[in-house]
Amino acid sequence: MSASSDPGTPVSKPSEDPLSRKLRLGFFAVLGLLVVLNVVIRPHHPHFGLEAFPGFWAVFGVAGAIFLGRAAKGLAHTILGKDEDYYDRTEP
Amino acid sequence: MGSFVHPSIGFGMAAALVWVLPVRIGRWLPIAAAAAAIASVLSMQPGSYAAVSYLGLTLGMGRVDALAVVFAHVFAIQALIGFVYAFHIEDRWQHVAASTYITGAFGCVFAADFVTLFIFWEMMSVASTFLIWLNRAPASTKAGIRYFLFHIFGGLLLLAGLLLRHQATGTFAFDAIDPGSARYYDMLIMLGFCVNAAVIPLHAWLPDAYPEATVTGAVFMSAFTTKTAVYVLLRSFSGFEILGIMGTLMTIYGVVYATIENNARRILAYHIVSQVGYMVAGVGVGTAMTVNGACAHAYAHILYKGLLFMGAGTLLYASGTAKLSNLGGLFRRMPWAFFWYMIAAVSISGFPLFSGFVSKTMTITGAAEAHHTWLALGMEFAAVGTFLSVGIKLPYFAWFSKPDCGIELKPVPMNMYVAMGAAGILCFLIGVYPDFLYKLLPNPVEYTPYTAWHVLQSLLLLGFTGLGFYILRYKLTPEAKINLDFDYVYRMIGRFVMALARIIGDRIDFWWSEFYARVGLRGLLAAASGSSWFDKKAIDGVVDGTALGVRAIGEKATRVQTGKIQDYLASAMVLAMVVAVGVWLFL
Repeated sequence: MSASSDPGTPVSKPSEDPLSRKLRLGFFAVLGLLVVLNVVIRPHHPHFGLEAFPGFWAVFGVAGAIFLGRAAKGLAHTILGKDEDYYDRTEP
Repeated sequence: MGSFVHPSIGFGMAAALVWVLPVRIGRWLPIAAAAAAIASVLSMQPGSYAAVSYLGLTLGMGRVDALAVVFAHVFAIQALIGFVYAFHIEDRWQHVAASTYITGAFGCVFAADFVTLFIFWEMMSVASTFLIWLNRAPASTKAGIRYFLFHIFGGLLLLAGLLLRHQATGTFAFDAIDPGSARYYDMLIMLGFCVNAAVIPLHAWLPDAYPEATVTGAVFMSAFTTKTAVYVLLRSFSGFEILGIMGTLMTIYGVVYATIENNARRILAYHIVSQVGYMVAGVGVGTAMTVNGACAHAYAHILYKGLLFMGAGTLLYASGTAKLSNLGGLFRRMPWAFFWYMIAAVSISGFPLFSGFVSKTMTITGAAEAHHTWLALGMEFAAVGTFLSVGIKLPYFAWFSKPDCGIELKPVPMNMYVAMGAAGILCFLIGVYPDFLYKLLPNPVEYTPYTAWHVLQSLLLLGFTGLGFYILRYKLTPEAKINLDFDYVYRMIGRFVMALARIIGDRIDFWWSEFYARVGLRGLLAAASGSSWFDKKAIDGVVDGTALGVRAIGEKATRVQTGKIQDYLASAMVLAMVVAVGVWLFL
């Protein structure tokens, strides 16, 4: 995870410093390496069919994180999220 | 029979002595009690000790077996770490409350029957309430009352269950209950336990109250209440399938809320719900491996969750806020807090070389091998959420993300860093030398955490969770909001009861006025002329005096409201404890 960008500003800041860029590329390289390793290293006794496919847990991780983030924020923005003084305001 | 010194004795004595001694001396006593507890746990032999006759019952306060020892072991260590972290505190009542609370926790762990368990269980509820109130803020007072009422409710479920059970079976024995023949009273007991284990939907007291507790109180509470509940569930309700399902739901429920929360300590509180879910699921699946997994995870969890609360507590202590939307960019000014926090964060996320890896994977693999594939997948999904919210989101938005939030920081006492360092080193040691933990577990361990596949699988899962965060990093920015949870329901029940009481009160008032007008008034008029002289001469003097008295009490009460009430209640609690122990010993 690169700590390069400032949240609130649009993606792709024009002046990314070289260290952040290296960190980000390094991170992607490690992820790629892990998937390549997964082609060689497989579970001996997969607990279910899909687990035997290389990259299953990579897809599970990234899809799970995105799904969770979007679903949770969706809930927060529709029914769950209230102003911080919500309970104080509605007190009799 | 071997030797057994009940660790509660030391903590009980510490609680009483801190109450009377100057705090500069007194605050050493809980540390001494914790050191004595460690020595006691290391030297104790399995067996039954400390049976007491009470009201015709034989109460067992000293059942020592492998299951009890795992929990006592980590309780003693965490008590020591917690009291070192709290060493700088000059408020003696916090030490009294924490010591009493831990007295209760050890009492529960070694209890051999439901009556003993209930007594120590309630002691924990009362003492932990003070750890919230002693934060001395209006929000803490309110949250503490809600917390206390909810735990009274849980305690009553337990009490009703154990009494009905005694009626039906004639015994208070606190042993394993067979899932096939469990009756309604067993279910009541289980529900009482589930309140303290924060099983959804009975969990809301936890994220409601823990963020309002004192900085150090939250560190203690994160370790003992829910894990004592896991222990009693393991003792009695192993193999109850419903717990396997509820536990897995808890793991996911907790991370969903943690993903959207803004208050750092509330994020961590939701992660207790999530992490305890793994343990409850382990209890529910109930195989030797998942029971081991639940114990191991409780052990590892107490250490890293305490460290997470210490890290977030250090942020709160130094900056005065735990809200991520107000923090940011503190890395340059608080690097060590960040470092130790991250040790705990990678531990909870289950990174290889850290403690969560050797315990969490055991429960998940155990569930998968028992053919609960969906439960195992649910727990893996929760592991993604754990790393996303507590491993990346919280530290990123507290220590990085913005240039610097510019908040002025109070210096952090050295003892807080010492405690964090000790906890961090233990998290790492358990990760690289899991046999230390595995040797303590109640069943033989047939699980090797460090296989090439387990390591690769964890790295894939967590690495790609990191990628998910990278993609979503703007979307996940914390917002200054709160999120509705089940505490909404009991807040509304409270309001309903208040409204009902008001209606009934109005009725009584109305009825009394009518009665007064019809019956009282005539007689009163006759009496009035006679008493008017007396009234003028005598009563007015008294009333004026009373008014002055009332004003004085009012002023006192105002002061009481600003925090002193906790002191008086704490004294009352310690007094009640002394009386209870006296009655216990001499009846």
